[in-house]
Amino acid sequence: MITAALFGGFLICMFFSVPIALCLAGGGILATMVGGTVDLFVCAQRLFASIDSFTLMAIPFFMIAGNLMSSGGISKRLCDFANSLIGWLPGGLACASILSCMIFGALSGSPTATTAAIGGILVPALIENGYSKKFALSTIAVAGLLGTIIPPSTIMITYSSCTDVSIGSMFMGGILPGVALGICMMVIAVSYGVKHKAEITRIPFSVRRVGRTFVRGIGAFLMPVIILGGIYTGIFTPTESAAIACIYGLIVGIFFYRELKVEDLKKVLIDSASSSAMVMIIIACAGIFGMVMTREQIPAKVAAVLISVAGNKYVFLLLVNIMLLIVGCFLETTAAILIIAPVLLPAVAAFGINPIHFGIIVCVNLAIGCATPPLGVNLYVAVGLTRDKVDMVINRHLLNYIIASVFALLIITYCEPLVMFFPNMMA
Amino acid sequence: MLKKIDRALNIVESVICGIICGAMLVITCMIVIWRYILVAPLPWGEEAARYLMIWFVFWGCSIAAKGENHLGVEAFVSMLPAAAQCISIKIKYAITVVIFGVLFLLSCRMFVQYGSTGQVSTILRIPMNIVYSCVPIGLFLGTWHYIVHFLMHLHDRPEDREVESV
Repeated sequence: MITAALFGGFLICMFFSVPIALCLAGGGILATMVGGTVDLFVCAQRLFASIDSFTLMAIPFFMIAGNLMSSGGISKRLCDFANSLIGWLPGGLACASILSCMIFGALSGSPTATTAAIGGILVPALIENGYSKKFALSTIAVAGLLGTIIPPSTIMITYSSCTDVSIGSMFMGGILPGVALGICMMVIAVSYGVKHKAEITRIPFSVRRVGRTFVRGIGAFLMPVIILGGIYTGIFTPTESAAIACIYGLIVGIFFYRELKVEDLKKVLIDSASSSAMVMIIIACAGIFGMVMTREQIPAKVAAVLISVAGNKYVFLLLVNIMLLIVGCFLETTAAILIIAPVLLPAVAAFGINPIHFGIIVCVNLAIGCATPPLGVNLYVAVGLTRDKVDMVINRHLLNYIIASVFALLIITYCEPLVMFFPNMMA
Repeated sequence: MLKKIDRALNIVESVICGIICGAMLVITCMIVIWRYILVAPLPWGEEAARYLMIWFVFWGCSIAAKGENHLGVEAFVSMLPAAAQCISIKIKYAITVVIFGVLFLLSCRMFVQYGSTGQVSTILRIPMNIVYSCVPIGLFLGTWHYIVHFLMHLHDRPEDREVESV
């Protein structure tokens, strides 16, 4: 009965497109009322306690850092460097967009910030160089998800906060899967380039240009070294590294590239406050939802069913992938992680799957969900760049990219060393 | 009148978020500086930064409510015919206002509770009800912004939505 109230309340609110945070809170409050044994005001307590964590502070900081990078002229220099490096390939500029998203992913933790920052510069360039608008938009919408797989990543921080896996290990685990995803996407870009050879203009390769753009972008390339190096060597915690990243972004934007103005700062601040509050309020409200789930022992019950249905870990992982891809199409990433990860963890432990490996699988699945209709936030950000309707980005190129990403996902799922290489090295 | 209050709120929210954000950044960096350069721990740093973050989130919650940046799943509603969409959008805002309102009332009770027990934070010794006060404030402003959205959509007619979607 309580379980029915929890999920019923949540689904009804979701049907009417109530903000997802309030769907979680609504379900939780309803279930607590139906249960009747616990005083309702523990809900108010959970709201505060769920986000009272120094670790979670990394989320707003990384969002601010990402927004600073995109206004401070750093993203433009990254794109120039990526283009000089692989722009000579067939479909070179599209490959360069994907590479730019990978590098920007090492500065920012969110897929939408990546799509907005790189897409704002490269979508017009792609169209100008003969790529179709549909192809350009779907490239940037899908490539943006690399922003959340290549560390740092806000969804990995969320996963760590609800599972006790160290953020450092999750970040290290995300590096190779991010590269694998990027390579799979580039295959699609190259095949488009080969097919449309006549329409696309390409730049020749020049070592001097690579050197020049690298030097101009050096301010940006040092940032991941500071973030990951600092966490890796234990000099600072992920939260501290995120704060340092903000200060670094400010200094580089104001004094080094001199493109960050006071008006930009105001916009960066409002945007980051709004988007980090959106995520953090989901985490706060998921605390209410999670409290009911734990009290009703839902994770243990789900684990028992899953273990008997799946039988072994390979079938289990396949089922998880299918389920998460479907969930990812509908649910916001943070909410999905907070509902699903605690439910699945007992089963993960029973099958002897490494929680870091599992975390990366969850993150990649839900990241792909950011680029699949109907609720793919990246799709909306991408069409927002050219002020088109969302139909413009939903086409066969997008499908090709998604198939390539799912292929990479399967490699990540069934090739554990790919994920665990760096975390094991760190340990 | 509504617009004037809205504009004033907007400025207050932005200024508060800006100050909190700056303080949060400075304190977190201070923790690192104290540890490595002054080789002395900054005991109150973590607690202060954490509470500032909670303030940042609940004031940001209000900014997000104003801009309707709190994401929802629009897929199901968009499949409905225009007339049903028109009703469902009103239901959406009504449910949102109710949940925000209930959370606000519960958080007020929590605020009073902290006040009556006189609990203080571990290191800084700030009264907990002051730390917690951002929750009722943020939720109240969130409720307020959604009431405004609700009133603005109250007189929507199906014809308007059809025109909009064309």
